[in-house]
Amino acid sequence: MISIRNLTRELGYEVDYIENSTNTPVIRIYKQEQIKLTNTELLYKCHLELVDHYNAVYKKIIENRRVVFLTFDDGPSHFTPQILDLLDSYGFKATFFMLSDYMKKYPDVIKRMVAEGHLPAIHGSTHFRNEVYKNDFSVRNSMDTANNVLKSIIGRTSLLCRVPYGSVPYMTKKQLYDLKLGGYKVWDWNIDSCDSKRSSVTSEYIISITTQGLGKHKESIILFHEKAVTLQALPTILRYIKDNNIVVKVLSEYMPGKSQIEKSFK
Amino acid sequence: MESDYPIIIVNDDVLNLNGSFPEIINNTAYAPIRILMNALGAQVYWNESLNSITIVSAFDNIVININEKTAVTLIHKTTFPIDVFMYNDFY
Repeated sequence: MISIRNLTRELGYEVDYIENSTNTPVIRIYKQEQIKLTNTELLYKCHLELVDHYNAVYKKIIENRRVVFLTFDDGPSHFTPQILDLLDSYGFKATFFMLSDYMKKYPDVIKRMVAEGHLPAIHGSTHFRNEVYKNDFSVRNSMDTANNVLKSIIGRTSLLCRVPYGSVPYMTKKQLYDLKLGGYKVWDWNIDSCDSKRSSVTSEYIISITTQGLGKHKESIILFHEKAVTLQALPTILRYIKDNNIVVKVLSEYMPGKSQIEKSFK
Repeated sequence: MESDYPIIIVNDDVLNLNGSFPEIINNTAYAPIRILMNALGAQVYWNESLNSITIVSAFDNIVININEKTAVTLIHKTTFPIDVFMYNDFY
């Protein structure tokens, strides 16, 4: 193995890191006169190969290690900076499923989140059940509306979405189909931290239910919300993840999505 | 946070690494030398007795001294340090 940058420079090539929607580094070695595509066109053209690569890498990681995806719903909020501080102290990255109104309220928080390598994702323009699930197209509309807000803040959209309350029981097959037509990857969870289940929930309970889940699954997707009690529970949970050598990853547009409605959880 | 194995693209195409994985160590990306160099149109020769690698391309020829971790370009006459290490019995 040899370091790429030094050597390719000496052969007259340039080396670029291409920013993309995953934490997989994409490195482009090129001569200006030999390329036709911009970085964005390249990512688009290579999408299927990138999917294959991502999955091969993912398979290799999960051969020996447990993997966890930390996800936070209903933000951003005034708790987000503290969540980011905590994640930063462990070097962990998370995925944030966000609502339009709060994105408008805390744009700087989103900019910080992105700058620190976390993944912004879409929760919709509203959390009200009767509005989100009003008709066949309302779910995708809600995601698209929220995406416009995200784009106005960070200059790009996200195809990763989580529907309010999760895909079961309110979402219909038609609404799912419409979301997929829009290119969206739908993500539920397999560990509910229960931080939003009851107002009386304690951090001890959140810690216990989450670490039990982590012990059970090879691949965990934890649902958190941005709450004071979540912040109390997080240090212990993050410590558990570190002590148990679990790999922390962000979701990726190169993964197919996992939801109860598609029965993609075992 | 540990980074994933990177994806390497040469010009407009994903580099097929035949199942091997490039790595990022301390912010530097490493790839298998022969596959990478062949993709850039260069040939790689390994001199076992000198423990050196010679890279031959139209742009320049490079000789890498594996023990000293240095490289010399024969046309442009530059010398530079280079990280190189064995991985699964291959460079």
